[in-house]
Amino acid sequence: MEDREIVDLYWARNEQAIEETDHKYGRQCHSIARNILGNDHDAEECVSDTWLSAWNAMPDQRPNRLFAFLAKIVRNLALDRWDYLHAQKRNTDVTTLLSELEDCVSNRESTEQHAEDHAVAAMINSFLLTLDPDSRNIFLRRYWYADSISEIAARFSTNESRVKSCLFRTRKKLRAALEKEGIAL
Amino acid sequence: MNGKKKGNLDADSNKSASYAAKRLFRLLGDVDDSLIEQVASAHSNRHPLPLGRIWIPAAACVMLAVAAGGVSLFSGNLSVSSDSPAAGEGGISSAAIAEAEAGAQAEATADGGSATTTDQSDSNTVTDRAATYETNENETGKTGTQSPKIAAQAAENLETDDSAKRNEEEQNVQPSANSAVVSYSPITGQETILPADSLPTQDDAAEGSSSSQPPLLGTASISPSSAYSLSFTVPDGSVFVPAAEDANGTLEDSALGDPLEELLTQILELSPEFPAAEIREVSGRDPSFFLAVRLEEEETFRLYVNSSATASVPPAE
Repeated sequence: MEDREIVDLYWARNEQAIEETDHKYGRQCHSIARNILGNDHDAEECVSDTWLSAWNAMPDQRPNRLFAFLAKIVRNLALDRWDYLHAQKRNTDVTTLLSELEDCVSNRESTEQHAEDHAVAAMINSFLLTLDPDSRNIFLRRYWYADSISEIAARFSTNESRVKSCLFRTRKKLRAALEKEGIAL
Repeated sequence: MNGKKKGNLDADSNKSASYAAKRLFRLLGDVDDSLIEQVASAHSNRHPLPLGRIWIPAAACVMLAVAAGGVSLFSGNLSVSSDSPAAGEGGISSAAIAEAEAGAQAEATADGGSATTTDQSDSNTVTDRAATYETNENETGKTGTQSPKIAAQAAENLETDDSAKRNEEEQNVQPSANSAVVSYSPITGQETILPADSLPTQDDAAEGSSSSQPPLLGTASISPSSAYSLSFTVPDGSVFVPAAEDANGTLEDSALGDPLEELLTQILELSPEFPAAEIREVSGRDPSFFLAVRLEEEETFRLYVNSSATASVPPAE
């Protein structure tokens, strides 16, 4: 089924939309979540949450690129879950009291940070477009899809050392580009 | 002093770097949708088979096969060409070795005297020269392009040095009718069993008839006739091939011995594709090494020799 037809199902509030989405993009979304979380169980929960988020996001939104839309959702959900799981490992009590104190913090800072994040994201986007396609694809497979080095090497029919050196060079370029723009993360 | 120990500073720094990396990882999530989809299908633009691991070795194999075929074709042409230097070299080599064989037999049968000494020294000379020639060829690596030149040069040397002696000796000493020699072809790198009585004599060479041509050595010298070029296996595992010198001729009735019907049955069981109609012994020759075979649709017998016993072919009985 075409992406446009699936989006139409979401807009029609037809539950078949989730089934079709899972059929078409479930494996890829699961792979992204699993790469970040490291286990299938959490990844599966992430994917289920992604379908729910997509169901809630549409009909307000009508994504032109359904896979990118879903992949961003599952990636953010996986990162949130990763943070949650690692915070639990550190100290459950501290995590609880920090979350309690978040109520006392003004939203102004987060709003500023949100705007800054948009600027940084635009800058990163521009930087990626300056890269040659091979370097860009390898960089994004590593830092967007969280693929392992060996997976990237197999995907692009090369060896791991070449992937590592390519990533190293791209990271150095990104650092230089960020410093040039005066962006400090 | 800010009251923090160095270890605490490092821990804070690491935590800060980790936080910044995590934030950058999140920010990377906001890249353009088109880039994300492009990367998702990036592998499909690549060839699924690694170039260096599959195609380059495959191309090398193909080139090697083509080169080998070219060398084989080149050497094959040299072998069958009667006016080429290689063919001349083959004839000289056969004659020289036959001469050595004849000399050795003469030594065994002679009463003694200077004639025996001369024969022995000549045979040694020819053998040594052949060995020297082989060594030289090995040193040059037996390449397809060098071998014909070397063969021609060696043939000329052999011919120049030994022609006078050979002319004299061949008039006096003819090869024994029932002996066999093993000749080595430096072009094909193969050995061929040649009954000495079939080797060319001076008279034959003078006549220039096709039947008196020196035998062509190696596999290329076997008749292209499909039936005749077949070999067969006997029960003891030995493989019999057509005798090179018999490519154009047949065995006379006087050379035929007893029929070997049981052997024929066994051979047809082992080599059902071999079109043998009748097998007989060759008169005066060991049937372990020589057999007379009449093929289907033929009326005459042809000589077959044991190819697996090239190193120790005994003289005729």
